[in-house]
Amino acid sequence: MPTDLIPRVAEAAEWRLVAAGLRQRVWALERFLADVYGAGECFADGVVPWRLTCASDKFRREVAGLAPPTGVRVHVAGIDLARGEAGELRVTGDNVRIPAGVAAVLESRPAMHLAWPAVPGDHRILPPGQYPSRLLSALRAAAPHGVADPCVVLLTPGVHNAAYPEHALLARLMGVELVEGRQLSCYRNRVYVQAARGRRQVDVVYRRVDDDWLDPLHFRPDSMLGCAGLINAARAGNVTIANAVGNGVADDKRIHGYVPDLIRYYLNEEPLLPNAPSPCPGGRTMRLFAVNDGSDVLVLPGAVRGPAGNPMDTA
Amino acid sequence: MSWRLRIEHVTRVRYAGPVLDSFNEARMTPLTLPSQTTLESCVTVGPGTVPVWSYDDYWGTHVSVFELPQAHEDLVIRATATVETRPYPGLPPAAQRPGWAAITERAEGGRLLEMTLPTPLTAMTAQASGPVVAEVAGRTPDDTATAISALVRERISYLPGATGTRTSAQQAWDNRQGVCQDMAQVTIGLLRAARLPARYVSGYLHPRAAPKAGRTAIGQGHAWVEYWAGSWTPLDPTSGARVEQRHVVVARGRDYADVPPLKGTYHGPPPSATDVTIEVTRLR
Repeated sequence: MPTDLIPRVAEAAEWRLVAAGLRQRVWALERFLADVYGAGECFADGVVPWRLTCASDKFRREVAGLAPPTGVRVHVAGIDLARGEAGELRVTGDNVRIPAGVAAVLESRPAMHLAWPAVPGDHRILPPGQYPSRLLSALRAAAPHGVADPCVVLLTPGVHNAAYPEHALLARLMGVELVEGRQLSCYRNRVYVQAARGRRQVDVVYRRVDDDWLDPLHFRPDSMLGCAGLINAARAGNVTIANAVGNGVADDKRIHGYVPDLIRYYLNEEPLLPNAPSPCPGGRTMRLFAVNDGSDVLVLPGAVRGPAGNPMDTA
Repeated sequence: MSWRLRIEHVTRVRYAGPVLDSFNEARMTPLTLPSQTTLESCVTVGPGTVPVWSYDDYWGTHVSVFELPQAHEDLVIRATATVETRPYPGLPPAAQRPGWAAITERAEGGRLLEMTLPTPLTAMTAQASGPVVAEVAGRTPDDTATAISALVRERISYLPGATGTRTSAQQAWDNRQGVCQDMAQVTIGLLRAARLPARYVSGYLHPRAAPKAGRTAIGQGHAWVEYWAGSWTPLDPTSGARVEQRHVVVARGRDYADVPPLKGTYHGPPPSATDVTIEVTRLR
């Protein structure tokens, strides 16, 4: 993913608006997902056409009724913004499956400080460095009830995945085990990791593997990247999958236009950030990351540039 | 008069060598519905004592989950149930049934929509469905459904072994051969092409229309169809007979893929033999 080494600096007032706007968006998408995999009230009330969801291949009926322990499905969101003609920031896309790119934010800032110490100078720019610890605390907070010291693992498709360096970096910065599917096993609806330190029960799987490949019992039967039994372990409430399975119904390009309505419907608030048509004509998009720990949504300072007009890779 | 049926569904799988890490889901427990009441049901798995866990899925089907992590060379699943089935009340008078416009409106606006969209297993080309839809045009929704069912029975000969569980409606239509699963999926494809919401029903069938109590018969896993025309209405395109006390509903979905009686994944060689016996006894 292309990255600007020099961050675009937002004034404090604009940043506060963006942070509040993204927080609002993430909460609305959370409520929408809970509704889609629960009662479906937004369809009955005509807010979103049922056709869009029921015909979507991202709608995973396999997880209907599967309520995550703390209700959080979007542990990490990557939201794409672009400047409109008047310079105002508009949202061009939401990524609530497995948004990639945060490593560029984390690595480019220290690199910039080394290369051009004078550029940051007297500017007081918010540092992005707290992201790994905030992500880890959000993941730990998402663990099943009653787990005092949750075991979190980062599930990667492996070294051949384009985002593998990011997986390795995040695992290292969070101090969690970086695992591939073959190191996980399920036994009686519990998930275990076979790691250097022995076999241990896993409470939270921060997965960077697509839904399709996550559990051969429920999704692609030929998958070697996931772990058979994972979905039913989550259904039994013994493990949390982050982000939740089936989130793709909320970041579908066809749902994008309805997000302002979802904000009004679920939160009874006016959207703070306007929507832009997706893909955004012309302008360069940038992706901001937000972490939801169930009580608060933290928006990470620092954006990564997205290719203009192209749907983002979410590997 | 209602029947009380005892169903014993035994699946034996023998593998060509040791297999392990076997994770499975069985959909073999009859539902409780206005047309039937499941009095008692049980799914047990062997060899040995394998714990069975269960949940109800999106379609309302009772799913039995089990795993065999250790090396094993055979697998036995025994699903038993006692079900009371009631006679089909028959269609309400035609005047009380909605017309085409009302059905389309309901299907477009609500949850029924899911049962009108094509799926990979039920999609049919316009070339195949067009002439059929034209042929049955001008009928009431109920008569359309009956006519389509009759056309399917005429077109497709019942031939076990001609198709597999992944055969699509289009393939069965082209080959003119299939089993109840194919007949059901072709009927669904055509009903949806004719703008009637339709769903796949998986269950059991007692082989006799008027069995004596206490005698055990070899039954079969069966598939039929329900279409929506004011209410969900059953239709058995394989036999052409009315869906009544002989039919026991286990699961309903868009097509076979939503309701497979057994699905699983494991490490090891393929099965060398799979033996399924379904015994049905009318208790009273």
